Amino acid sequence: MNTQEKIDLYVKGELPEEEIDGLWMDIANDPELLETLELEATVRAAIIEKYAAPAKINKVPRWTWYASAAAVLLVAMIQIFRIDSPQELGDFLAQDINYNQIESSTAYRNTEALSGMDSLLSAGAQLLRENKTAEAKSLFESFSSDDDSLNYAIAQLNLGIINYSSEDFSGAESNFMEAASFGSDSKRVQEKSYWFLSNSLVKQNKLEDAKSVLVKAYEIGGVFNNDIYLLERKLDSDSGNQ
Amino acid sequence: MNYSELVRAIREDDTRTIDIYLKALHQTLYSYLLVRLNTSKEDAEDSVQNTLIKIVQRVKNDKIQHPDALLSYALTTARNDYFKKVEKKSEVLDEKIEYKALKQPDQLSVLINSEKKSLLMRCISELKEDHQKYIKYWFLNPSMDAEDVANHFKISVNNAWTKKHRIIKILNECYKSKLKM
Repeated sequence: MNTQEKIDLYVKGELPEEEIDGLWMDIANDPELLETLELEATVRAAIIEKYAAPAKINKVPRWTWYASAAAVLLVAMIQIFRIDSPQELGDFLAQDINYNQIESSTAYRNTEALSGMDSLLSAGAQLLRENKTAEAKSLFESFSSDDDSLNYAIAQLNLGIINYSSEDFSGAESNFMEAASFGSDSKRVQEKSYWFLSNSLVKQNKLEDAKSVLVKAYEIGGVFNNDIYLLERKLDSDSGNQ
Repeated sequence: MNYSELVRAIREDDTRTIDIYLKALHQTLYSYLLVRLNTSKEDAEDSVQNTLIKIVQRVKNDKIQHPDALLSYALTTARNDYFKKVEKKSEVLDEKIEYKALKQPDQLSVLINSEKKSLLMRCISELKEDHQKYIKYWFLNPSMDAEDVANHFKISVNNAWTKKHRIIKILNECYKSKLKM
């Protein structure tokens, strides 16, 4: 991975933790990279603010001639957050908790440091790509919490994805909870585990539990933050806290 | 930057070169502490000053010779200096201070200047429609890598990177021209 690619991943919150100090060494070697990092972070922030910012329902334009348009907008926003049917609450859940989300540890470690267990994770991911779900599941289940904690967390995350895909939301809940507990070495694994855990809880109508998990997920400040924020708002709105 | 040049300058007391290198290193270390450890500006400034003094002393004492070792030493020393300061302030030895600080998400937002962001938002609106679509797609789908973007826009991965860099460059030029207005 070249430095430009590292900057891109860093700005998007996707650069593995163990590569971040290496990037800062690159920046120290070439101070112009700090300008690149700052520019890309600002462009990303501008795009998110312009196109993906959560609805600001408290900010009604002060000009009176905007009032009617604002009122219509406000009503529309409130309707969005007062959706009652499970299907519509489902609009706020991740639509892609499927095998595309399966993780292996190669993204989190230096290639030289990959162990046999890392290879097993990759093998499990490959089995899923070949639709050999039972074999993959049994392989991921062979990981123990006594082994490397990040590998165990990734295996549990993958098991959770398998269970979620087969609509075993209770099983997925246990797996994602384990993954979140043991995944603290990787911001990405932990955030993903919490985010998917909250989705499993919503699927089981455990909405208060889901809200507590969303708070933890949001505090990580990762790539799912906008989705987490919107689901949190929706749950708050449904429970009458808005 | 060729830091072997800094090592030479410190040994030969070449103050002009020392100033140039330490100024660049200062900026990087300062940003590193703000972003990585979420320090205050005052704490970052203190720790960077202490680190730069230690670097000069170590080079003078022949304890740093290789430039890579110098950079690694600089980042570690800046970080440790900050942790020591926090421990001192709390008056309690907390073994988990470093752990907690490193577990926080990196604060890239400290690098963002709100005026620059506003001008860039205007520049984004002025981009050609296909450029707007492209850069939006790139940044609003953080889990997608360049290959995914390339597949989506039916271009090669190399072209995907080139197009992204070109748009960022256009935005930067637009920002600079608005700044002059």
